[in-house]
Amino acid sequence: MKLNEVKGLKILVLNDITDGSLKDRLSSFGFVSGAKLMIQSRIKGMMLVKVLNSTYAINDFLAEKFLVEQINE
Amino acid sequence: MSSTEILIVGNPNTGKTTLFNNITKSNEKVANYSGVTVKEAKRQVAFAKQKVDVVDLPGLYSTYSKGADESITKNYLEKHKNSKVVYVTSTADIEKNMRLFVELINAGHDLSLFINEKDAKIEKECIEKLENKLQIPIYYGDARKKRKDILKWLFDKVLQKSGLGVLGIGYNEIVEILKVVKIDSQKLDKILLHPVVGKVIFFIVIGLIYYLSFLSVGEWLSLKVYSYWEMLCEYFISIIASHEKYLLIDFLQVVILKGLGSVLAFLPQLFIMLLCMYILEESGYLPRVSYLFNINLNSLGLNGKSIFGMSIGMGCTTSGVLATRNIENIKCRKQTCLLLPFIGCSAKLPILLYLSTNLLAGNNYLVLLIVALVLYIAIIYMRSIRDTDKEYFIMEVPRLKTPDAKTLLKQSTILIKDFLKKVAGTVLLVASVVWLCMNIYIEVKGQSLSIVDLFTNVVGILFKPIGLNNKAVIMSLLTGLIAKENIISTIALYGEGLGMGLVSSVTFILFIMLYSPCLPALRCAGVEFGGKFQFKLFIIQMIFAYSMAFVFYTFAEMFGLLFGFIVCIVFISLAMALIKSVSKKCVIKCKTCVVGA
Repeated sequence: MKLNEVKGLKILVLNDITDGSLKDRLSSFGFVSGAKLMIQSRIKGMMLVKVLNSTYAINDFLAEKFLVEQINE
Repeated sequence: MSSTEILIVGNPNTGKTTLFNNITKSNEKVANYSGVTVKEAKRQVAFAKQKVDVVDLPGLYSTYSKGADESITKNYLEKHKNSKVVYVTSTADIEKNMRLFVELINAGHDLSLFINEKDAKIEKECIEKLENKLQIPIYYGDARKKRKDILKWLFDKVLQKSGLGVLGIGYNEIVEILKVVKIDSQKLDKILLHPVVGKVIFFIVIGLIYYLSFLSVGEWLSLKVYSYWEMLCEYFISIIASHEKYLLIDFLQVVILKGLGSVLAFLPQLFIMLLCMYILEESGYLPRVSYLFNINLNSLGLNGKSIFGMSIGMGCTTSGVLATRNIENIKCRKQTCLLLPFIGCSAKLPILLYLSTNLLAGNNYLVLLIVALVLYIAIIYMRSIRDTDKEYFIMEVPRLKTPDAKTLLKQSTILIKDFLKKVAGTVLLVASVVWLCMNIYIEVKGQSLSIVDLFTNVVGILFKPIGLNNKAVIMSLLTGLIAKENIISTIALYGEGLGMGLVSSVTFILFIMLYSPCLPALRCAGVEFGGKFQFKLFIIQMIFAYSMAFVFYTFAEMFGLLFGFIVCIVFISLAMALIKSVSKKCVIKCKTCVVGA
């Protein structure tokens, strides 16, 4: 399941990002394998995602790189 | 390098500059979004007969970062490996902040930890456990307060620290010790980040800022400032008048009263506008605007982070260029810089108002048409040169907070001081030089001409086709290259009314809105992107200004003002479409050659 395909507010588990050059950069934000992230809101082409106590705006182009597993809490 | 230097390092928006300002008693800019500090700042601090240099560095997410502002920190750390480093983290984001901390401590940097209490608390036991685990000094408190305690910790613990602490520490080991309370999302974000309501709110906020600054409170205050300035100058003139120092009286009346007065009168308007923009920055609203408009900005080759450069550029184009350092993509950075001259700085807006009042005889709708035309040109231009490659976008959105009154007061003082410095310095100097050139006469072919007359007679040949062959106009455009404020002060030297018709007046205003940014802004762009880009920026704006002025003046004189605007729109649309198709063909041709080879 891709992050940008998910609708609504859900808690997800982030699997490994396959793009190596992006992986290092995103890990500094807390986007690492096994991280829990919550989709706060969506608008066209963008979404707000919460990781730990920080909120990030990411575009769909980036969200397509995330492989996620949905957890129903 | 000696270890009498302390570097303040950390993730963006953790309170590094706040800490720096507190301990060094400085006023470096702070705001509630990542990417405010875009260059290093250094000050010396003295405490208990000792001195140390403290360096504030731009925020860094990781040593793998590629942004221009983050590269400054990476490079500084590499060159100053022996310096003491105070790593600043905020309590609410400490789990995230510790990733870079672990990278730095395992890279062998001499770290101490400053935990800035912000939005959440950490138990003292956890701090003590962490201190024992890491074997480094840790300070826990508010970066804005207790300056003496912080200085004592710096000089007694940080500077006296021997050894690098525990190396090879893992991120998970640190996070296990810390127990941070989870913070819920703010309810106001449901409205501010709504895809429709959020955008409407943004336009209302911007409209309100302009209304307050230029139409209501700002306008009233501006008139008051000018009238008091006039009274003050007339008083001094009356004293000197009795001594019959006519040259001095003329200097006071023309340069000081009219020249400086006309610029000083805008201080209330600029102050209100910049203070409002600063409140937006400090509250954390701007990153929300970036989120809302990122897709719209993509269509212009920009991204959400361009908002910061654009909003700061409304104050000063030079600062706007520097603010683009937080944009990682170099093409997008350059694109944002190319847009800045169209947005206009805080000096251009008062010029627009001043000239519309004095030249357009109450036809205020013309101002709206000029602004609309300039925006249309900007949009068409951006779309024609944008890079269509997709790029990743990720940006931290900080929590909303009420702007701190003390910080606002400090920032207001800086705004007023900087403005008065500029007026007392550049504007006074340029106005004095122009006045001298107006009053020094030279005999040429039996005619007595001032230096200004001689100059404008030559240069006027270029301005005749666009209806701007007017001494005051030519001199104001030239002095405006040094600082835009000089445009008003130079025109004021010639007295009110330039003796131009309506068409020429509109052409003049259009030219000002489009022509080159001031020399400091050009120079800054050159430093950031190279001499070629600096030259390109200057030439592009001059081409836009001259060509649009020529088209407008020619057709408006023949067929009326409205027709002039319409032809300008058609002309620029066709020109940009042609440039776009020619450049596409060149790219295809180049790719074909490469593929063929």
